[in-house]
Amino acid sequence: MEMVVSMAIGLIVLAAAVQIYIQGVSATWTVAQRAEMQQDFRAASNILTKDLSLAGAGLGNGVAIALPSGSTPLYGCDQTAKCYLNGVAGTYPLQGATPYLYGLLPGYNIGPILNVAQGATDTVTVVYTDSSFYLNCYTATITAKGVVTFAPAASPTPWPTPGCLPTGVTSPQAVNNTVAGLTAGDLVLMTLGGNQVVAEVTGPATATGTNSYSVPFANSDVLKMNQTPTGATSGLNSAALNATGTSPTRILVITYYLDNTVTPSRLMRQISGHSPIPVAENIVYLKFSYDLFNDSTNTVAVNQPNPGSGDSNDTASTGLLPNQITKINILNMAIDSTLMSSQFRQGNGYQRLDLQTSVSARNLTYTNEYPN
Amino acid sequence: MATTMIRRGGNFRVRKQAENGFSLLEVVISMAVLTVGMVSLLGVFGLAMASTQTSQQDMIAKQLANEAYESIVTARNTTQITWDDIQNQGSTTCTVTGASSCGIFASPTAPLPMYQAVTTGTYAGILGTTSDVGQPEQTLQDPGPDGVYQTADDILIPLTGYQRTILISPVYDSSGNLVGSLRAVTITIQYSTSQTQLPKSYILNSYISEYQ
Repeated sequence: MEMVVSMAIGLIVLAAAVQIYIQGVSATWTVAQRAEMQQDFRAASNILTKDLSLAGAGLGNGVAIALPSGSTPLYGCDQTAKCYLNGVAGTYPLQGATPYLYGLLPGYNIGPILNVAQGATDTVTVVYTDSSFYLNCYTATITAKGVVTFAPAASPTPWPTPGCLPTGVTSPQAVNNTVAGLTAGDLVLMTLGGNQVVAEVTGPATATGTNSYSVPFANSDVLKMNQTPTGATSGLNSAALNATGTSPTRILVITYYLDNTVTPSRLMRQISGHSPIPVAENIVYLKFSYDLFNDSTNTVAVNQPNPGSGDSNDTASTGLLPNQITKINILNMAIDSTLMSSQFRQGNGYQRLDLQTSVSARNLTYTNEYPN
Repeated sequence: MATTMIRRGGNFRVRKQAENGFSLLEVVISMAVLTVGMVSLLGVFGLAMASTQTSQQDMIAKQLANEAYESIVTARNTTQITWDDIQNQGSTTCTVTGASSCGIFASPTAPLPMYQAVTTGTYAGILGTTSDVGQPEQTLQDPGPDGVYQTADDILIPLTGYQRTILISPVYDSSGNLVGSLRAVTITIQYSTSQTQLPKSYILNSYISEYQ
């Protein structure tokens, strides 16, 4: 009798212990899910909000640069001519027939559709100068068709100081530096012969003398920046031989989009003409809207998903341009967990985080650096 | 039951000894004690799970604070709002205009609900201004049970558990002189978590300059 009672009690104790163990494992699983999501969330939100806040930095007053219009300049493609914005390239907004590069390019509904009911996702593209590469210490000169030579200015020598170099740095990186220098797919903003041009590097830079480098900007670049359009006055290869200019800068055209060709879907960051890199996994939805300031009416158009389009949701921003954006609203950036725990009875077996916040376009809306 | 075989006079006799085991009553009492202990342990599990759950609310609070700060930066960038007005309502440090009172952001004396920004007028899109008071509360869009946005079961969750305070204060140098081109910004998001019911705060401290 005692044996039976003690066994029964022992079984009860054992069952309770097993239950606690299962709860413990389940809790561990849930915590692992949440930790994974939060890591993805931080990675995605930190880099995305940083880039958004830098939109337009260093591009100068107005942040609107005319691009060649012979062939349509593109973004969102790499050197293999593969394009990533739902499999196609992005195109720059037009003013008349001329495409323009702005500090921020909304990409309303041009991302992939991860769920038909949900609809298309957005992309966003920001443009700013690369302040870590002191290319602006060099002078750019067109030395042959499709070739620009970067060399120190004749005076002052060897490098113009102060100005292009930070304190403690005595010389800029070599243009053919494999880490920091120019490589195929980079975009360079130059003022040549008085014209502002954006050109794409199409091959490796080669040293031609002390601190002098020859860089190819061939006509057949993937992003269609170096073209010589008939009758056009913009574009690198329409500039005259020996045209020269100071303070060239590398610009970064950075596009965020969702890649649903892999499982789980990822948030990708693609720079200029380079291959994209993943930022965070499990991002399942991405939508933006924008606040714009109308200089003519001194009014603010808020929450415009496709600013300037004149769509029914964007009537307040009809005719406004991307360089009038004052604030970027991240409407949704949803992150799912892929660690399913249905075997441990955790609801539907997934968790979700949503980023919904705003970022000021502090470098985009140039108004007055020293207001009264 | 322990037994001892004792040989006496060529015969074996079995003698019972005193029982040394636990009685049923003792076992039941010890089980009761063990059960109380286990229940306490489960309580700790629950607390740990609640803490895990609140981490999402912590992140929301952080995003809300960042959003409010970005709103102030946007206000600074807009030519429609002067530097004098990048302060709390009723400020008397109006060095640009010389006015007796300036500031567009709501008083920091009491936290306010998470009002949406107005969509028209000078303060459109700027959170925390005096014009926001009485606006509907901000919401978070949740995809609902199907996990898919833009469908009928989407839920707009009002941020009723959150409150916001924006404090913009003057900055003084080491000699006590007012630094007119710089202000300190303290944004406090107060919220109580549904699991623990404990009030929590996320405080963002930063500065804002008159110059871009």
